[in-house]
Amino acid sequence: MENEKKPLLSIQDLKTYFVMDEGTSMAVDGVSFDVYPGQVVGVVGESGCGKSVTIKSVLQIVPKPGEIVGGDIFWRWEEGQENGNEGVTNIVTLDPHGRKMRSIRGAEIALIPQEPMAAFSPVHTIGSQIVEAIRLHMDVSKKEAEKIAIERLHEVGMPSPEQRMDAYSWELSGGLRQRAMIAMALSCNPRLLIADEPTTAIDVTTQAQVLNLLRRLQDELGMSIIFITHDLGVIAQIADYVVVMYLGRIVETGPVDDIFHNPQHPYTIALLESIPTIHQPSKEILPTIEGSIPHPFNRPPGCPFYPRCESFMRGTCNKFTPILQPVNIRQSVSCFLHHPPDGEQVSEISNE
Amino acid sequence: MAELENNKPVLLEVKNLKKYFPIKKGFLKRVVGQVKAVDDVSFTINEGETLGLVGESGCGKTTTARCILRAVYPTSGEILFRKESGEIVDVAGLSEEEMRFLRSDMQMIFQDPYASLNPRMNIFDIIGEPLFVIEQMNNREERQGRVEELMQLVGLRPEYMQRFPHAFSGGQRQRIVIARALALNPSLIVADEPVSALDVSVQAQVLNLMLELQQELGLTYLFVAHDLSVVKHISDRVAVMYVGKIVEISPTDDLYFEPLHPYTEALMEAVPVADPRVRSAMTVLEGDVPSPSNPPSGCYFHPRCKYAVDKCSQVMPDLVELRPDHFVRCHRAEELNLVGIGGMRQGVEEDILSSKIQ
Repeated sequence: MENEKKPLLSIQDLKTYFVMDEGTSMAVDGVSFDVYPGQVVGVVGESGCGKSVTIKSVLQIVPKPGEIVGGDIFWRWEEGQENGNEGVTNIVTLDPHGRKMRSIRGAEIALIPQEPMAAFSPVHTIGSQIVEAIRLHMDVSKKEAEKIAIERLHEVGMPSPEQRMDAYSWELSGGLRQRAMIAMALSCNPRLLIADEPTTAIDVTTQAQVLNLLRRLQDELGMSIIFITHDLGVIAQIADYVVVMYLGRIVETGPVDDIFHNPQHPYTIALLESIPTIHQPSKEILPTIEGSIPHPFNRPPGCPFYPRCESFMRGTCNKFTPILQPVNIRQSVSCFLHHPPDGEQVSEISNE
Repeated sequence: MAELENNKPVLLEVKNLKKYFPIKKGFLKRVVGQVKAVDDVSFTINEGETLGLVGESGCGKTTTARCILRAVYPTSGEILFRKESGEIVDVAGLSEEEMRFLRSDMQMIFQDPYASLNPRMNIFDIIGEPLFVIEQMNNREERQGRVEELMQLVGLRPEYMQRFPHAFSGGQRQRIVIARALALNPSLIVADEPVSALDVSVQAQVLNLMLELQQELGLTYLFVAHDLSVVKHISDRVAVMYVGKIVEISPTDDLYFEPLHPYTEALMEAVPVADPRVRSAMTVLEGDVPSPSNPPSGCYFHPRCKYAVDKCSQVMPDLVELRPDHFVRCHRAEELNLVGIGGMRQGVEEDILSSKIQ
């Protein structure tokens, strides 16, 4: 089904660098993936892998000195919305502050940020903030906007939504606050929802509530979701398709079942093994990934994972940079175990 | 205090520990209420054992840990601690001066290794400080030798002694924190969420290190965390807290496979299973944790409990030993047949099987 459809969002060879006096941090270095309508794409990776910068690039809200230095992000409009270029806009070419970008950001692509506490203004009521978002993107009166806001709050399971409109964010519990955030994100009927670690700061029982809510909304509204997290359990529960990132690059992509039951990249395999799960026998030494994530300024030449990789091949992995290539009809991997470097496949040769 | 239990002496016994924080209001700062952060908590930890303390945020697990270390004064209750000499002292009643000497027996590992290391001190000063302050080890070379030893013990290279914390990654910083905690040869280590601020690939390293150190040095841990998988991995026994009270305490496998309290069951159901084939299993506990300043009547869990009956909203149940070593605070614990992690998974697999057969 997905193959017949055209992607809603297509990220192609995206490069976002932070140029600083100390050096250049290649936060996102050649990332490509597609999001199809109705699909939940899970992006997993540890801190510093570039998952947040990737979605900030999509929304054109990369903080300075970060800059998109290469690649394309294609956004497909709904039929009839935009006629030029077959209904496709390259977000990278838009002015981040321009009218068109602003009509995408918030209305077409909505964001659920990680910390709902920090995302809401403490001096405005929840209601007034949602109404503001609605009236920015839709031509409706204040009364109508309030009606929509209450409807959305009701949809996300907020108890007595009419009264909560007048509540301040600090009056709500963590779970309700995150629900209010989701209601605000959904207020303009976005076609793509980006959730940036939406459950990291909250408890397991609340996390289960939020995940169930997102699943239900996705089912009812049929929107696409990019779900960013470092928690593989959450990914297993919500994603259809998984993108595994390490140090600004994609190491593996594939459908969720294949990633968990047939992982191909040494990093994915090691990551799945090293995480304590509730089903493991207790008090057992876990397999680990040695070392730690390199600092972005001292990024190793060649494959970024080689200093920690068990299958490291001297002379290959530390010399050439692998590129993402299919290993079977569903999965793609960037690793020389699967695609030995030859003249054509090597994307770049490091000078070091 | 029981001398022997499971052939190992009790190291720490907490009896009826309470910590109330007053709510003050108005110009005169009159006390208008109490936040019962820790409300009548009792447990023991045997020597060489790890007790895991789990619960959602605001359940009082950190406050319990801080009371034991006397970082906060308990409101009432006893904290009996066996010193190396065999003498048993009540930590709750000690003076500051006496407490200072006890600090070498109990140490803490903090949650955030980015906040718990002074950025202006190098690693030698950080790890060597307790040696200097408590053990009066004034000879720099002697101290250096001990710091080197400690760094090797936690898997850091001694050459890095002169470096500052910013040069280390999160996992390495947590190793420094552990080395500092071990400097005075403590018998009890209180670890408050020691891995939750770390990257997932580094968490396993730190957990393994803690397990190895325990075997090597015979350490006793009180391990506070909200992550049930991590707690299961490291603990011999687990205590589950809810709104300031322990609702269930038992050996790890009993608790996870045969929970007796509905809250424990709900907590385990909420953990996302890292397997896309086990999706439907996640059921949801509705509602929020009540405020410890205004808890509901009867059993604190009854408004969210799917098994609640009339009695639950009226009478607070006692913590009773329903099975050997397995204590639970629930009126209906005996009659309920709750599902542990084994059942959850099995249940789903059976569902898949039966649907295939159909």
